[in-house]
Amino acid sequence: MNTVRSMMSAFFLVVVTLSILGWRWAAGLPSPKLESARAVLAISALAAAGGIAVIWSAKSRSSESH
Amino acid sequence: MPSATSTFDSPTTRSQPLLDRLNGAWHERALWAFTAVVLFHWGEHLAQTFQIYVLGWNPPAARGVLGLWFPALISSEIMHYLYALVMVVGFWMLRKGFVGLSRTWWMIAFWIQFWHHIEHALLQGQVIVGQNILGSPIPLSVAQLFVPRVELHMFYNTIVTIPMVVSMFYHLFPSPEEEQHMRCSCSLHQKSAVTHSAAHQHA
Repeated sequence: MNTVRSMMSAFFLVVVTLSILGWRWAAGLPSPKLESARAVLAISALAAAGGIAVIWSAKSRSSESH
Repeated sequence: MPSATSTFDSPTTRSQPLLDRLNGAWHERALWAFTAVVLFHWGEHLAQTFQIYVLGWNPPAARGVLGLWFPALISSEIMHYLYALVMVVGFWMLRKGFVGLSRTWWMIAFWIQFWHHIEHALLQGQVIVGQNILGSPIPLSVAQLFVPRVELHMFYNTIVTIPMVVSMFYHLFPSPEEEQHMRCSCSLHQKSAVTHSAAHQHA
């Protein structure tokens, strides 16, 4: 279970990293593109962090008889 | 109980309608194929954003990997539209294999992708008509009126993929109640049980 979680988390972390890099890059954009680009990048990063939280907070739901 | 893998190409499976097979014995393989397409597409988006954010390329020159050799893959709206359409159809066709929590998350991904597909349909419509909205020199989608294209479509792909991944997580590790209603071989609990059973028989 943790192997699957780790693989999924790695993907989410790539998205978070890219969003941070995009945030820095967007500084060169004119307003209001700067604000809108940063808004969607921030939501992307937060959503990816949320995804990590969801899959790691999910308890093992298998029956222990397995 | 026979595993779904063993029923993959059984006479019973062959006599089922395609959608039943895709959501039953073929669900696992269909999801592997669907995931491969999604990851390939993500690879191109990641390469494109890396080219812009890290390498400092101009956005029009950042065409991912395949786009460097086949620029039409990036510049042609039809390619983007077809991918969005394949995603919507895939989400819809494979939904019945999911149960419980995984089905909820899968349908969240479906509805977001449905809107993403509408946005691409709008772009493709402007190409077909030969006129862009608001007199723009390039085709525009609704959200693109406010957000630059590269960031917007990375955002769309992110908010579609996250519920899809969460859905797959719950599908791989279903609750016992959910597992009773699954007709596919995707559950890793089931595989683990089969493996342990086989090990006990050999012991």
